[in-house]
Amino acid sequence: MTWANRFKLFVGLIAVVGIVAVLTIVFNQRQAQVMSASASIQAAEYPVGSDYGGTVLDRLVDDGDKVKAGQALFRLQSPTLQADLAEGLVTADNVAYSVGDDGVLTLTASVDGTLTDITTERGSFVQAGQVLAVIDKTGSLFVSADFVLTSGDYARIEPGADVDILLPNQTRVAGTMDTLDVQTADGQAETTAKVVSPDLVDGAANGLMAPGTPVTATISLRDDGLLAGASDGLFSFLRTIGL
Amino acid sequence: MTALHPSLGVPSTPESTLDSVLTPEAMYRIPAHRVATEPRTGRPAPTGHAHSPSLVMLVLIATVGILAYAHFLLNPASRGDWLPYSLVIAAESILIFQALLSMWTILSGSSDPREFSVHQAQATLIHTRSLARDGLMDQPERWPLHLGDQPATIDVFITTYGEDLDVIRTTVTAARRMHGEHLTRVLDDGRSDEVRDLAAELGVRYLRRLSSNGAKAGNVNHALTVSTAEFFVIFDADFVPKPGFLLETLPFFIDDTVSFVQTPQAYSNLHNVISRGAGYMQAVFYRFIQPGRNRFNAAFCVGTNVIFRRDAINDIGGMYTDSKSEDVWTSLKLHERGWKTIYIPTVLATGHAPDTVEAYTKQQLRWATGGFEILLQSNPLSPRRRLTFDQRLQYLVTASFYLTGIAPLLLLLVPPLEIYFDLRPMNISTTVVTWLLYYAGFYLMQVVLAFYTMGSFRWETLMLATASFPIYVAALINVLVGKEQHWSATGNRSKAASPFNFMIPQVLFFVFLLLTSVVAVWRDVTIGTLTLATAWNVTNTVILGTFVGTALIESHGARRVRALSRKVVPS
Repeated sequence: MTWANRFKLFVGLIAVVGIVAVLTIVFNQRQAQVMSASASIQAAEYPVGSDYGGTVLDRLVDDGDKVKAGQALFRLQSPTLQADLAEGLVTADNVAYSVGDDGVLTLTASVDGTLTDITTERGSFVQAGQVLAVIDKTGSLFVSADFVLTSGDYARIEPGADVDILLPNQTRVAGTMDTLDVQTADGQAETTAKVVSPDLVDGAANGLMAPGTPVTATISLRDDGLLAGASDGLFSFLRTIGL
Repeated sequence: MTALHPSLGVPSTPESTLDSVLTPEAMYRIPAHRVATEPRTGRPAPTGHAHSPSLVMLVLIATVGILAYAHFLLNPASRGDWLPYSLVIAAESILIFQALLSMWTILSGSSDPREFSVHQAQATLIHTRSLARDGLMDQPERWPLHLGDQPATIDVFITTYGEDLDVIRTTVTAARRMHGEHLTRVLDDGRSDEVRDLAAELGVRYLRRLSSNGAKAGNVNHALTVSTAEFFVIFDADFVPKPGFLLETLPFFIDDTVSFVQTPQAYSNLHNVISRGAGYMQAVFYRFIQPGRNRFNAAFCVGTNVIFRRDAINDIGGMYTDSKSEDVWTSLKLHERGWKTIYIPTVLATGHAPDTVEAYTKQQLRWATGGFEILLQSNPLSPRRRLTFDQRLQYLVTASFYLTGIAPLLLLLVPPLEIYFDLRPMNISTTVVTWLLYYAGFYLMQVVLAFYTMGSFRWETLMLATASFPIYVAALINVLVGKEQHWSATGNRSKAASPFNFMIPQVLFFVFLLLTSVVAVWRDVTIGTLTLATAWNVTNTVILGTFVGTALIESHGARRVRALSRKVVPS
C-alpha cells in the first residue's frame, strides 16, 4: 500500500469513528427522550352554569369573547330561584352570579379568560346544573400529552423533567413536567402528562398558543445509559460555547 | 435486506461440440450449393431451441414476484419515513427495472440464430477435395475458407498493451493454430520490443503505431489501414481462441447484412473468490441476455472474441474511438445503419477473469464508465437515434445496467438510518412476516432462477455486487465531470500492488457498518428485542467483511510472492 493511501485510510478511519461517535450520541440522546403519541395545548377550564334551571332571557357575550372576572354573561329567569329567594334559602350575590330585584339571575365570569363552548341561546330552557359555556382561564395554558411508555421508560420519567414542546410552526417552547396520570394496557403505560411552561402565553406565536392547538411534546428521561456522562458533557459544552 | 444483484449465477463451462461436427469427411458428403443471400428485413422467424417449459414457468413466477414486490413497495399504506423510503424506492426501482427487462430478454431469446443458409454455408466452408489434392489435410490452419462460392480472406488481430509475454505467447500460438486460412497480426500499443521479437519468433505479423489515440479501437483502425482482408477477428491479448473459431463464426456472413458475430467471454482462471465472483457475474449476460438480444437484433460486441465484416466497419467510418466502451458504441453505430449482429453462446475463446481486487476494480470502472457514457451522452431513447424500439430498449438496459451497482450503496444506508435516527423505510405496522414474504417473492425467486439456470447460486457474486458500489459511483462521477480514465490490461500481473490501494471506501464503509452493528446490538439489548435493522445491518457487515477478508488474503499472498522473489533474485 502506498504511503499516500495509508494516510488517506488513516484519516478516513478517524472520520468514520468520529461520525459514528456523533451519531451514537444523537442516538443516545433520542434514547433518553420520549416523544408524545399525541399532545395539545389546553387551559384551565371554568364552566359557567347555575344551580337553578330556567329560561335564558339574554346571552350577553359571543363565543371566543375575552371576558373579565365579574362580567355578566347570561340572564336567566328562574321560578325556582324566585321561590327559594322568597324562602330565604339563598343569598342574592355570589361569585358566579347575582340576582336582581326582579328575580332575574345574571351569570357572571368567575375568572378572566376566553369564552368557549356556548351551548344555549336566548329563549332556551336550561336545567339546573347544566353547563352553559366554558371559560378558558387566561394565563393558565398547559400541555396535555399522551405517551406510550415501556415500563423501563416509565421508571426514568422524573417530576420536573425538561419537556420540549414543539408548536405546529416549529417554534420550540421549554416546559417542565408537572403531573403524570398512568393507565397500563398490554404491558404499556399509557401516560397522560401535564406539562407547564411560563412561555405559554395566550395568543402568542401567531395565535398558535391557544387551547386545542396540537403540539409535540418530548420528555427527557433520566439517562441511565453507558454514554450518560459523555453526552451530558458534550451538550453542556455546546451550551457553554453558545451553540 | 442485503443488496442482491439481479445477475447471479455461474459461468458457462467451455464446451466444444465442434470437432465432432466438422470432420472433413462429413463435409465431403454434403453437396455444395450456392445459397440465396438476399438481405432479410424485419425480425428473423423463431426456429428451434425453445426454452424448457419449466424455465418459462420459473421466469413467469419470478416476474409475478417482482410485480408483487413493486406493488408492496409503492403501496402508500406501507410507506415509512421519506428518507429511507426514497432510498429503498430508488434502489429497488433500478433493480426491478433491470430484472423485469432481463426476464423479458431471456424469454425472448428462444430462437437459434443459425438458419438453414448458415448451416449450408458451414457445410461448404471447406472444399475437402481440393484440400486432399493440395495435400493440406494435416495443416488445418492453412485450409482455404469459402463463403458461398467465394474465397474468404481473414485477418486475426491480437491487441496488446503491456500484457505479460507469456500471456501474449499463449494467445498468439493458439490464434495461429485456428483452423482455416488466416493472417495473424499482433497490434502492439505497448511499443514493446520484446513483443516484436516474440511475434517474429512465432511467425506472425507485428504492427506498432506511433500514436496511441483511440485506445484499442484506434489500434484496430490503424491495423485496418494495412490489412485488406474481407473479415477480421479481434482477440484481447489474454483470450485464447479454440481451433474451431473461424469455422463456427464465419458461416453467418453468408447473410450480407451481418456485420459481426460475437462469441462469449469465458474464463479459465476461476481459482479465487474475486475471479469466481467476476466470472459468474457475467454468466447470465453471456448465457441468456446476449442470446436473447439476437431476437431484437440488438446483440452487441464486447470487444474481443468477435469477427467483423470489414465493409460494415467501413460503412460507419471505422471502429468508434471516442469512448471507453468502443465496442458498444460501434455496435450502436452498426445498428443505426441497419446492419445485423449475431451472438452465439458457443464458447470459442477463454480468457482471464480479473483475479485481484486491483484488476477487478479497473475492469469494472472501465465498463461502468462506458455504460454511463452511453446513458448520459447518447440517450438511446432520443429520436435522433435511428434504432428500432426493441433496440432502443435493449440499449437503455445496457446503458443503465451499472446503476444496479450503485443500488447497494443506497440499501446499505437504510439500516444505519433506522439504528441512529429511528427512520424506517416501511410503515411500522408492516410485520416482519409480510415484509419477508414480499421480499422473498423478489429475491428468493431470483436465487431459485439462478439455481435452475446455472445449477448453483454463487455467494461470490453476491459479495462482489454488494462491495463494488464505490467503483460504480466513481465511474458515474468520472462521466459527470468528464475525467479521463487510464486503461490497464486485465491480464497484467507483473507488478502486484496492495489491494487496499483500491478499496479504501470499502474498508471505511466496513468499519462504519461494524461500529453501527455494535451500536445496534447495544440498542437491541437496551430495548430487549431483536430488530430487523440489526439483523440486516449485521448481514451487510458480514458481506462487506468477506470482501475485506478476501483482500487481506490476497495482500498476504502478494507479500509472500514478493518475499519469495527477493529470495530467488540475488541482489
